[in-house]
Amino acid sequence: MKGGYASGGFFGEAVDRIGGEPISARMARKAPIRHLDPTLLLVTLLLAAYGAVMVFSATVHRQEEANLDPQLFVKRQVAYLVVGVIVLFILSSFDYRHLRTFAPFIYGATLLGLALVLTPLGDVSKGARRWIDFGVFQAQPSELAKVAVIIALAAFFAEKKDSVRAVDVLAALGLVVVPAVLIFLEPDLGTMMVFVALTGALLLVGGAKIRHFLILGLLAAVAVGGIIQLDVLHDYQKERITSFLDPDPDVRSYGYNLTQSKIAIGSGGFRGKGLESDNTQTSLDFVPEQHTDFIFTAVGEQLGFLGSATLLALFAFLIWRALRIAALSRDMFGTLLATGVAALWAFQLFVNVGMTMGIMPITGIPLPFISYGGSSLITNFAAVGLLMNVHMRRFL
Amino acid sequence: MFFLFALAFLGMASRLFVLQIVEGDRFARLAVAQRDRVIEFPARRGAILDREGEPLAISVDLHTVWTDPQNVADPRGEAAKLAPVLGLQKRELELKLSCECRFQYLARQVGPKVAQKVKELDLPGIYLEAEPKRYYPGRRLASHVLGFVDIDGHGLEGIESQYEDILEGTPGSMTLEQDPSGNELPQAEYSYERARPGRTLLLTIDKELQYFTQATLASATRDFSASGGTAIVMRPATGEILALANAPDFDPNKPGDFEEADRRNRAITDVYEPGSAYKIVTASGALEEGAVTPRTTFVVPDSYAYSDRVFHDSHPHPTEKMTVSEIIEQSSNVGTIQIGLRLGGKKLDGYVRRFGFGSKTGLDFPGESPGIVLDRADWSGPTIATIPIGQGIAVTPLQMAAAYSTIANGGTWVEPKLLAATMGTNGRLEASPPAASRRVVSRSTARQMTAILSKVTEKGTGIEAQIPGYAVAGKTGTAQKPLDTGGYGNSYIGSFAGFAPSDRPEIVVIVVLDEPSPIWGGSTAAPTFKTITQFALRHLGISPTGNAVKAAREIEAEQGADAATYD
Repeated sequence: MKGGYASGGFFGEAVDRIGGEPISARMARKAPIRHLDPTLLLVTLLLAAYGAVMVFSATVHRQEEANLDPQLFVKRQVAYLVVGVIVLFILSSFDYRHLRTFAPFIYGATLLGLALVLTPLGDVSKGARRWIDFGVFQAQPSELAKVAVIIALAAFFAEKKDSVRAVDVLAALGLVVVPAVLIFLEPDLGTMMVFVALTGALLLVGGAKIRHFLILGLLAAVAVGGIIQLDVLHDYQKERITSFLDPDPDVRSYGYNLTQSKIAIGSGGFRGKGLESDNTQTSLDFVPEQHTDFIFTAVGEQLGFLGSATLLALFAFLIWRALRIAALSRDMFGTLLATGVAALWAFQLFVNVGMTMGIMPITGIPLPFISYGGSSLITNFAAVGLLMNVHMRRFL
Repeated sequence: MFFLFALAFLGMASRLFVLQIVEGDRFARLAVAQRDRVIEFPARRGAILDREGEPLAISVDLHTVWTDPQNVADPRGEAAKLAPVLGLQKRELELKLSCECRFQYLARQVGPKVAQKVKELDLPGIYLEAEPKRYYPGRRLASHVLGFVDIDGHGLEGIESQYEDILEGTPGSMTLEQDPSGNELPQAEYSYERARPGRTLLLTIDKELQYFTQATLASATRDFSASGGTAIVMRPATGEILALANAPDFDPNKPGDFEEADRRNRAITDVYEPGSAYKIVTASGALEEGAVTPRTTFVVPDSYAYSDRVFHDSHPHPTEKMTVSEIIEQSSNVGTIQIGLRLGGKKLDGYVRRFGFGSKTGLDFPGESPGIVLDRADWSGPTIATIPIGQGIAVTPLQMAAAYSTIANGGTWVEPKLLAATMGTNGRLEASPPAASRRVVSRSTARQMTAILSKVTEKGTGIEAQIPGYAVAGKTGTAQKPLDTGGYGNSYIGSFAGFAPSDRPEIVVIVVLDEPSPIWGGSTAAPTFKTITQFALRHLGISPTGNAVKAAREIEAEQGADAATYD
């Protein structure tokens, strides 16, 4: 390096000397690898490890009872975690700004995946088509779509810079509506609501005006009115949404989930019953879907207020980290990516934890990093990869 | 945005605090409560026996066959084996065995033979559970007294319901911890409590007399085309009810097959206007108060206007002088009203209540009615004239039986009773306390009334109640049924109440027929009374009245007449 410019005479010398130190040194100081966010990595791994422990705790008794490998679920979760870390590193290895170019492809591939789920290729489980079976593993495109939509929207608003017009807002809306409708058809009401939240957050940061929000609010009201009028919601979806207002402990109703969930969390008390304890709500399988959507009940019961509050604190730290990266980002695209990721986690956390405690309706939204599930875990690691990427290249 | 996030975290943390710290104890209790499962074993229900120890209601061990379809490997194969044993359709059974559930009844309360066969088949997922069933060997016998039980063996009506606490015993229980599918937890704590069987009841009912009374009432109801009826046989001295029958009746083994109207114990729960049979209250009161003597005479026309009403005697007759005794013998309404007027409203009301009308008898039978008796303050103009002749007042047949018992007892009212004793598993009897009693009129008043009532059967309206060899005292009653709209219609209740032998009364019998044809108590209820009383006297071994030779000749004469009829 030095050789080439040093002999370059006046210009070379001048360029080389800007800022009073050699460019090479500056380049080295700005090198992405020197700007990793180690605390982000640490809190991510802590959350994922916490999740693996809880997945084990929530499944071990059931597996033993059925004479199956008691570590089956935790082994898989750790495998997903490893894949997730690899994805994290891949997604932070190249300059995130290239994603702007690839955004249309990523978006298109996601739509394809979502559409495939609805074809006979999609796997039906518990009445919904949400998975594609690849033989060795199953993928849930709606999870991956969360990150894809963040990238697409971020790329879109980054183009618009400061001049966001009503047309642009509508176009952005169009970008979200297509995957959202595909997901709604699966049906997966919860994930669709995640999309709505993401869009809101990105519009806000992307430069949409107050009047745009007013119009959107109006549109949303019309849409909700239409949903009610056309009766497109399944009965179970309505029941889940209404049952948190008036829980019915009957085993056959959704109120049962909620009642059992509250009993599990509440009975944990301050210190919890311990991970090893027998005859708990968790070990006796009173809470349905406990290792996935209701994993927080296992935390609440076994580790008590201490464990639950610690988990919330870890999440608060994670989200604060994401918001900080949004603020530090060198460009609008990075800010939008980081904001989208923060909103993704915050919304899922609030809706998931809220539903187990009876302050939000029951929807099928997993708790990031904690709930069992490869697609979800890997997607969240990908999101961390994006954050890391933006953080690492904030001086380039 | 940041503010929004902070708010969300604050919300979650505070909710967490409320659930785990503030309400933690409550949820912890809920968690334990839903793991504990208490399985109750019903205690053996006490039997109900008659006064001689003959069974009226007993519990037999039957079995319930149920399935946990999750443990059934081959629904089709098991259904094929089970169907002929249970007598069910193969298809229907297969459907039940392949249900997505953990519990399904296949057959309830099957007999021991079927249970044995099911046991021998030893099919996976098919289980037997002991389930005692109440059985009434006499079927319709004393059905209204006994009442019936629900499928779980809890008393719903009658004695079964009244003495539920005694009959039921204390159920045994096992408490165990279970998971949501109902599986017991292997390392869980559990406690076991043995069931304590219920006590057996001995009733005052006499099974044979009950049978005869019930059969006689049923045929009388049929013969006189009555819509219903009641008959009670009582021991006046002790208040013991020996027989209590209603028509229509029902079979407590299958109460669901009958109308509510058939299952009602009309003798105790239903009221009627007693009419002339009620005149003993008026006469006894007037005699006791010295207002009249049996020989006091009244000028009695065949109709009489009082207040806004005109009262008639049942049959037209010229105005004549009648003694108190004759007035009752001939059941003159006009005469009785004059006796009542002489006694006065206040005193009349006092005797109505002292004879037990307007309040429950103390038998405490489920659904017992106190009758309908106007408060003195609510009397209108004609009330002083209607009550003496048993109108404008409603009573139960049991209250009437108790009132006649009072005269038979020499003036003492005795509380009716059905429960003679209870018996534990050790076989020791514990007699129920003697019936409460109170004096209503003096012995001499009762004697005077008895003399008058004896004349009723000798030469008055009750001659069809005469029993060869025995002196009988009693009174007829024929009352128009009040309409729902007020006033009276064209349907009647005929009754006869009395006791025998009149010189030393052993039994009181009342017969009430609802809408008989002919309407007259004297020609419908009185002969029914005679049939029941005659049987009761013989059955209880009560010796004939007065001169044995004369009595024997009377009895022979009647049997001869019977023989002539049948030869």
